[in-house]
Amino acid sequence: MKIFRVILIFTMALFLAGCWDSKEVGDLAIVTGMGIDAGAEKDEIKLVLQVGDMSKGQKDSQGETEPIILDSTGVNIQAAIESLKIQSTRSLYFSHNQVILIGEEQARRGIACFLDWFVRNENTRMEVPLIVAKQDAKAVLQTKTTQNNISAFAVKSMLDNDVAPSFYSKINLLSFLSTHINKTTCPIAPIVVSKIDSDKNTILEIEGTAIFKEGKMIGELGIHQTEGLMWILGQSPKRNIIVKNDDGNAALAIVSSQSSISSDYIDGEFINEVNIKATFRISELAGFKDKHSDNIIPFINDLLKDDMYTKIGSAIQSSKNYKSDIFGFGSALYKKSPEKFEQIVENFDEIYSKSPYRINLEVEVLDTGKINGILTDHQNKG
Amino acid sequence: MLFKALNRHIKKIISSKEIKAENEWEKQNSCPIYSELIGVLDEDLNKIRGIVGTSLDIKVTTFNFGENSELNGAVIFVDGLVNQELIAQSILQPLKLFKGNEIYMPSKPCDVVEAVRNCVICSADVVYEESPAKLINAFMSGDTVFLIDGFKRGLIISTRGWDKRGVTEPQSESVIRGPRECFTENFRTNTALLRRRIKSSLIIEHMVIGRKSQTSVALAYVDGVVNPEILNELKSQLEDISIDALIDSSYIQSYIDHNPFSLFATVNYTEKPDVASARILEGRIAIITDGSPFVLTVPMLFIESFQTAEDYYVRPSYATALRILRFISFMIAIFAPAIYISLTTFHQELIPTKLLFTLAEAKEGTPFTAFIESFIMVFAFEILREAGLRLPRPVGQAISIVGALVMGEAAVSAGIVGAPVVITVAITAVAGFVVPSQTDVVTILRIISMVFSAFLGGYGFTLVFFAILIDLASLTSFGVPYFEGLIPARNVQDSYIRMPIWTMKTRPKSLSGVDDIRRGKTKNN
Repeated sequence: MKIFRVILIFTMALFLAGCWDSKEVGDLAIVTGMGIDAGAEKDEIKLVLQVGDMSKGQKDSQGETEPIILDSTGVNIQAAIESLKIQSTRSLYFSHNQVILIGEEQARRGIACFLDWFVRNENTRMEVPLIVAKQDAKAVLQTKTTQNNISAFAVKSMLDNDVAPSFYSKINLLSFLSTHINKTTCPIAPIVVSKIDSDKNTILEIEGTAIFKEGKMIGELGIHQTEGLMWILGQSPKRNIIVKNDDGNAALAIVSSQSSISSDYIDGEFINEVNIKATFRISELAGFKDKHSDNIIPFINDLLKDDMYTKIGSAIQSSKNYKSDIFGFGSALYKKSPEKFEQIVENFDEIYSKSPYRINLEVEVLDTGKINGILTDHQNKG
Repeated sequence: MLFKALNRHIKKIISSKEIKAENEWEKQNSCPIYSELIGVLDEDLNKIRGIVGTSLDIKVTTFNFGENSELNGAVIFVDGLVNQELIAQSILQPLKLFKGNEIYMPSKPCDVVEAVRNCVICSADVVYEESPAKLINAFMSGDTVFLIDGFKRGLIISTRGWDKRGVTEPQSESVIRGPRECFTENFRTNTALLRRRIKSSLIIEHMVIGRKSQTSVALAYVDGVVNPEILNELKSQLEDISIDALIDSSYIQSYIDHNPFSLFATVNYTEKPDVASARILEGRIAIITDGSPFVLTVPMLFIESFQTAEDYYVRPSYATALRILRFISFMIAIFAPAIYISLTTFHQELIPTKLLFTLAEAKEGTPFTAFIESFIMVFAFEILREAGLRLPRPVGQAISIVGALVMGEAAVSAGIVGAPVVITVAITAVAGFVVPSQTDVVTILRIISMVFSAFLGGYGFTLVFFAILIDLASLTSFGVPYFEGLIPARNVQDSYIRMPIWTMKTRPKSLSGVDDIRRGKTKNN
């Protein structure tokens, strides 16, 4: 009797569960990038898919895989996918999607409702970066850079690597949506543009930050303001900051940076404060010929402070102009005092746009590198 | 669990048949009763000839000896099993020179045999024997039987000397550092090889198994170190073996294996005397079988497959690294194709994107599914292995070159299989040889896990993994849990890691008897 019970358990284990949806790698169309562009009709979108081209196989492919661009329109993402399925000979595979690109036009029309598909579908990942494409998403997905055939990989590595603003790597679908459902904070997304450089190579570039409000893109921050934003939201420790004045310039590597924000609501005024503590190492110095190696550090300190102050101030001012709190001052107040938050949440945007702010900087240059002095063109031969 | 039930069922069927067979055998052999010598040389010789038949190699030489050649004697031996020179020197020559009148007195007939044994025959190993059956057995095993007319007992003189293979280097357990001796087919050489390593308190118990083959089997163990319960269990099992011939030690293995339907063997073997003696000193029992260069050791623990002789001859850190490598290789050897199949047909999201691209491009244009591809390659590899194994070495090499080229290069360029499959199967095949004593298990489990992965993906793979674990955890070898030694809390000095020899102060508890202190102060002093 026991043997039958054992056999029964085995059969049940085999047939009552299991992965029924087997699919061979060769039958997949691996989607590397997805783009959402504005459709011709007002309520339509154009879905653009970048799919790796496997048809050449192993023998012919010298180097990297070529991309294929597929697009179709529909009232929502799934509708567009359905019409693509009719054309496609392989099943679309979304698990390896690298980026979600949103064309600027569609971004301004509103995208939040289209992101539903991405979070509901079990095959998509929540950690995919969400990016606004300056022209349209298709243009970016079609771009072949000199180093990458598949632009989705290029964009992904641009966001991930050390040189680019590191905080962008934290902006993904998940963080975008969790900011989106926050009562006061507004989501942001990097803006990528496809350009032709002086050597007539196509390049991709990060060109600033898009500000979203109520699911729609309402404005953007330039590169300088983005740097201010970075100081507040978290700076990459491997980047270099370039400061200059009329006498010379300096490149300073960030050794460490810590930032915190705090807010308070006192006497009808929403007061915001930004505290930043950062340490630097000099990577390069040029000019400053009247400066001596003893007093160069305080001097650079001042330069740095000025530079940071301007950029951060500009970023905050700009966000106030758009009446959208991208830094999370509202949330900071909620954490500190929920009662006070309740008082301002009704009319938050207006109050925020008129709120004063304070920036506290603690900047220190720790190290001058291998040499102390300054090399100039006219070295003093005294 | 399934195996156990199956096991019980089949044993029941077999045991009923066995009893019948045994009864019939007894009937056949109960014909002429010849329980003692008659005392008349010619009649005795005729009787013996009648029993052993007219074989060309059985030599019966009669001759006269004594001062006046008044005594008749006969030597019986098997040509080829004896050292004829030794017979001439130690029996015939002294007999011819024997002028036994002073001790030979017709009134005391028995004394001649005794006198011959004591004063004439120049051999250290001479015994009296009255039973004809034992006498026959003696000359059949290479001794010489000497009968004297008029006496009811004979002498067995040890004159064994047949052509045998010398002690060579081991084929299946070769080492870079450590002893290079290897057991041979010769029973006595094997016991001597063990005796040379353990001089104190090694006990070698002799028994004969096989009705027709009359094969010598010896149990070797160290008194006090061996667990008496295990020893008694083993002895009673060996005594119960009812078989006509014992060709190799593996026959015994299949009789004493408690779980014959499990994939894992619970009886270990070795061809290295140093390994055998190390195991004996841990409390195990070695079973030496005449005619087999493989010595069985029981009880077997799973960990033994991952311990090699060389582990104890190299530095501990390196031995530990090697041992971990073996565990990983064992896993690779069983599961690598299954993991490949389940990843590429069910869980593509687990593969890094760029690797997935490579895999997909390799897959492009190949006609079969991942499972069929892997199966073809694994199957082809097994064919090649089997072909290469049995062939003479030069031909075997040619086979492997052709096979490697066909499998590796041509199959890929012809577009029959993708390169990743070839890589997976190749690493699997090589990893399978890292743990040589489990190669057979690995081969079967590999195919089972491949089938399950092909149908059920990662879930099927997990099912197989747990089935193996359950089987391993429920196995015992002579009452000792098979997994003993892999339980992290116990015997940690010599399991996943190999600590310095001096840290292994006690013998494994489950194996050894009273004397469990290996190093340092013993209980007695």
